[in-house]
Amino acid sequence: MEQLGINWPLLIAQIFNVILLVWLLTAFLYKPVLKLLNERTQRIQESLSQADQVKQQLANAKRDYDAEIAKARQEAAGILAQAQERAKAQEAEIIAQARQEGERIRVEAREQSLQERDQMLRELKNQLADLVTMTASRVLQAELKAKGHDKLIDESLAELGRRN
Amino acid sequence: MRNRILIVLGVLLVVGFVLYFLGFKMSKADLHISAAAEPLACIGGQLEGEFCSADTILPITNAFITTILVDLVLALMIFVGARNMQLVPKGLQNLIEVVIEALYNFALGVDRKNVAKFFPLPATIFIFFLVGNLAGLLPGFGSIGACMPSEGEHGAAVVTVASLNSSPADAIAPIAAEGAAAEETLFTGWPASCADGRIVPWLRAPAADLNVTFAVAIVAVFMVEYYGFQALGFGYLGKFFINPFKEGAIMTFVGIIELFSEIMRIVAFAFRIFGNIFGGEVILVVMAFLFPYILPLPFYAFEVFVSFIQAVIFAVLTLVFFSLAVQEHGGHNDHDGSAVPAQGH
Repeated sequence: MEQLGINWPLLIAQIFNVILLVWLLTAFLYKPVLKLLNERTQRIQESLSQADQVKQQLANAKRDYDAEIAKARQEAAGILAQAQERAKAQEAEIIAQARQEGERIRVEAREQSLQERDQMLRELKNQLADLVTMTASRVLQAELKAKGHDKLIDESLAELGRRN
Repeated sequence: MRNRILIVLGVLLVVGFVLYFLGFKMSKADLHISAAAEPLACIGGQLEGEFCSADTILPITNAFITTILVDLVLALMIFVGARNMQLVPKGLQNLIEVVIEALYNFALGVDRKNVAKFFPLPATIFIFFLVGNLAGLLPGFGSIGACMPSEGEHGAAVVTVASLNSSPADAIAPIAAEGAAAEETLFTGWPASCADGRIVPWLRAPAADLNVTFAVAIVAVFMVEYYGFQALGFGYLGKFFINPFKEGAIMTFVGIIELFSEIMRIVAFAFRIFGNIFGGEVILVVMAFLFPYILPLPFYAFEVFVSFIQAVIFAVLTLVFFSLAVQEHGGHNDHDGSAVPAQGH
């Protein structure tokens, strides 16, 4: 025992040393370090899940945005098409109306012109009859009596009216 | 690159040979090998040659001093590295975390259920022996020390002046008369040389002292038994005392062998690491004695490896014994197999 250096007080001192060291390292090294490592693991997991969440949210937002845009675009196209359609209908309507109006105006004008012509002709007929009568009477005052000539005048006037 | 290494080695070898033949070498007198840690002072007693006197309360051996130093180094490490730890690690905290996480994950692999309970002792054993063994390889360990008067053939040289700070001059003076006992070397008369005494190193690897290894082994085995009883109650004893009428006489005999091996674990633990570390020191000293240049280099590298592996073995075996102790009786294959590596190393 002595040659190997085993010495009871020293052995007991060393046992105390081991116990002290275990306590020291456990209390001030293992526990804090392991606690910290756990904390860090938790933190990292949290961060990762949060990042996933955020990514998910971002994707959702993007999808929503895209959908919204598509919807808006579709709506706009719809509105445009509708407007175009309406415009076309309106156009056709306006054109038809205008044509109708034109037709009406033309008919009216024609009627009016016919009436005016008739009236003018009538007046003219009257005046011409008077005029011819007057002229003829003036020319033939002496020799020609109005007798027997009225028939001729009427005939020539009728011929005039027929020619028109 | 390889050529450069070879050239440097060759040049050093040539320089070494020249120095060797000029007399720069160890003499036989420098070759002290002591299996026991040498006391440098004795509390309550007196130094008598290599040993303390009988009335000593506590001998201060060089291994004891180193143990205290290792404790202080570890305490300093904790103080510097683990005092205010950050969630984002920096510097020394990285190293500490890596080591502890690796140890913890290993313990987790051995016994997931009881890891929190089992982890501290094996981890402490690993760290303590790793730091101690590697420190024991530092230059100066085993080579720098107090100059103690050598025991004269007639016992006249038992002088009590030697103490921690004895200068060579003090030590040499009283025993100058018997200078013939020591071999003359080139270094005799150099400052701090110890021509007529023997150097007692101030420092010595803790694992090269059986007191240290036995202390750790006793604590480890005690905790193995403690955890065994804690987990299984008195049923733990059922592992060793097996009813011969129930399981056969052979199993009873195996149980007795188990009990014996349980006790022998202390000795196996203590001598395994002691033998490896002390043997490594002896190899290094002998190699340095044979030819002190280049030759010890490969052995030195090997001792670094041994320092690490012995710390691992001690810690891992402790851990494995823990996890075996808490298992129910009946897994014969398990502890039959485990007893072999326990004695094997």
